[in-house]
Amino acid sequence: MKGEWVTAERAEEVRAAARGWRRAGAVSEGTFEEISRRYPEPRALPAPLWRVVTFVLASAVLLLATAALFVAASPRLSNAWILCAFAGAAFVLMAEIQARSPAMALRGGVEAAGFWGIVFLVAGLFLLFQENLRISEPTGPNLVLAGAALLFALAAWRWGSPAWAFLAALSLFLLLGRAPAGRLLWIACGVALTFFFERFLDRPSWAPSHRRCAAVLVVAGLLGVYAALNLYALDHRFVEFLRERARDLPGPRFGERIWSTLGTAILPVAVVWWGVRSRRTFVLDTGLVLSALSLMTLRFYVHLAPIWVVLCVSGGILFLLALALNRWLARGSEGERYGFTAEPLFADEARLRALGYSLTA
Amino acid sequence: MTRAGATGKWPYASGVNPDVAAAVDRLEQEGVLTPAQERLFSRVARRELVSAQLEVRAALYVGVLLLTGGIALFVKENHERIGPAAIGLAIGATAAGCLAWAWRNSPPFAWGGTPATHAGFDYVLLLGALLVATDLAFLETQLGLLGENWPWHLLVVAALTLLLAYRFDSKMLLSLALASFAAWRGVSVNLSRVTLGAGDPARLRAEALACGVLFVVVGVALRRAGRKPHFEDVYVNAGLLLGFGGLLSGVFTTLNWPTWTLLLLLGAGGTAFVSFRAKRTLPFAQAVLAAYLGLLRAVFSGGGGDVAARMLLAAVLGCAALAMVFLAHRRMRTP
Repeated sequence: MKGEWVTAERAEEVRAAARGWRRAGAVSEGTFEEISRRYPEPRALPAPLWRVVTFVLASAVLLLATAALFVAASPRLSNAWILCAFAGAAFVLMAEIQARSPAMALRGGVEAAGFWGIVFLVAGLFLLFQENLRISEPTGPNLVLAGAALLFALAAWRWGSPAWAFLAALSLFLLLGRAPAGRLLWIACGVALTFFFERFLDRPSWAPSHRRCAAVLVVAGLLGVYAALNLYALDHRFVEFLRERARDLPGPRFGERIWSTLGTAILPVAVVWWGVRSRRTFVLDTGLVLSALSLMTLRFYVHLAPIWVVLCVSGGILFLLALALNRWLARGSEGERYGFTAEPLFADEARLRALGYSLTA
Repeated sequence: MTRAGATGKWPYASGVNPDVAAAVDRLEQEGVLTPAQERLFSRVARRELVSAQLEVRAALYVGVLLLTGGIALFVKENHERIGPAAIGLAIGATAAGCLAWAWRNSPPFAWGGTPATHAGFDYVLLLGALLVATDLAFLETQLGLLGENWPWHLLVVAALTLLLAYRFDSKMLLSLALASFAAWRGVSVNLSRVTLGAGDPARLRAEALACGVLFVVVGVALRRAGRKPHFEDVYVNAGLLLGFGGLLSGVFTTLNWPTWTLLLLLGAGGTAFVSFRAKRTLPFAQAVLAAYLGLLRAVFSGGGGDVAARMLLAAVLGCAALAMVFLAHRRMRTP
């Protein structure tokens, strides 16, 4: 990532924090203006809605133009990889040009061009191996997945979007799942990703977007480990079905099911504990999601009551627990306990409420 | 920003948002922030103080969804064993309890905004409203109080949730009310097919357009009258979704698509103009996307011809739409 982009990102971190302070009334308008002056942001920063619209329209333009090229050229399947590679390279170049322009860097066009560029490059790889070089299962798809992981990782490093980091991790897990010991590799890779990138979550030398990529990779690592450990996923061979001739594989052994049961129960608790101890809300949220999945897994195997009872009881407990937590935090000294508060601090409350009523509708 | 800051070499331990923490220290030293502000902002940047509000709200929302889902399933599986009256009473009593709690914990009514003071308020209110809707639907299906006019219970739900939305200043319930009203118009038209003769999707389209216009007009009128003016965006956005949906339905599903395309372009153009002047980004975006989708029909209509050229033309139109979005954002000067 270019130096001036990192500088701009650091300034934007401060400006975003200052916007939250102003929104909460913690600083005056004059103070906010002074902070903005001292931390100038040279790039145009549209609201998320504008960026989504730009992404959608840019994607439509790129796909239609490429489709026109394919229809006009009508390549044979053995030569189609050339067009895919050309389109992919052109889109990646467009993304890079936009990223270098302060007026265009944050409008959503970089993400659209970069994403479709990599998709077409990966498609080109697939067609090259499959139709041209005749490298079929399992090597061909493995090379394609490896290529996808590498390209998305490079995009995350160059342009800093956490979405590419996640896609790189996804490609890597899909690749590892196709190996004979895929499940063990998922656990090993997930643990490695989590512990390696956890060290960089607050690293000052890393750009803010790279730190966010590190956070996404920590989450991806935790999800990968959980997906490998979950008892339901084990019994239904979720990982094994990525391999060729997976239906011929034997079912899980008793010892595997024991370890899987323990992992399904313990991992979410460990992740929640880690989130609370480190006060990293994204880790805590991941742990809560994993806990919900584990409870669903428990219900699948242990039929204590009809589903409607489970839904009502769990909904009621969750609701009351949330109210109790809110009350407990609010009654702490200065409205906080152990570094947690129920106050929104500097979050965008309007955006949270809008999310709520749009989900309801 | 100092060179050290630019290169990321900060003397801070891990567990920190280093950029914000350093900025807070620097701003306090330079007198931009007071010591009290520096203490608070620094605590947040160092993750010594973290907000759990998002997690609490998410848990409340999921809890409401699980509860209403469980109750709906209970009704489905047990209505024959227990009897409709008992079930209806139980759900009604629970709903009444939720609404009574909301009444006791709500600020007095005002035509302006009256934000709730309790974290669970929105969700208890939502639970009560959803249970009322479930109860009405259940009683209607079991007792057939409205007979052939059963879709009118949706109007009752819409009216009730609208009242609750205004009394308790809830945008969530307002969007529920508008959705119920639109569903009432949609469902009743479908059932009227027998009396109207052959099926009439054109009527459904007209209903969607009428609802869309109604919502936008009501939203604007109420804002101008100072009656919950902050509700306007809910009315307008719902109205535009229905309106553009109806127009696009005409463009893509009728033989008379040129007329519908013209109407769509007029509607989208008008919406874009008004929202540009009012600096309203969501309506502007909806108008641009709807117009673009409608024009795609014109580009690809008819058989034969040069498909590649049509696709290229569609891509060029997309570029024009992008340029419009880009320029509008710059001129609107909104984030």
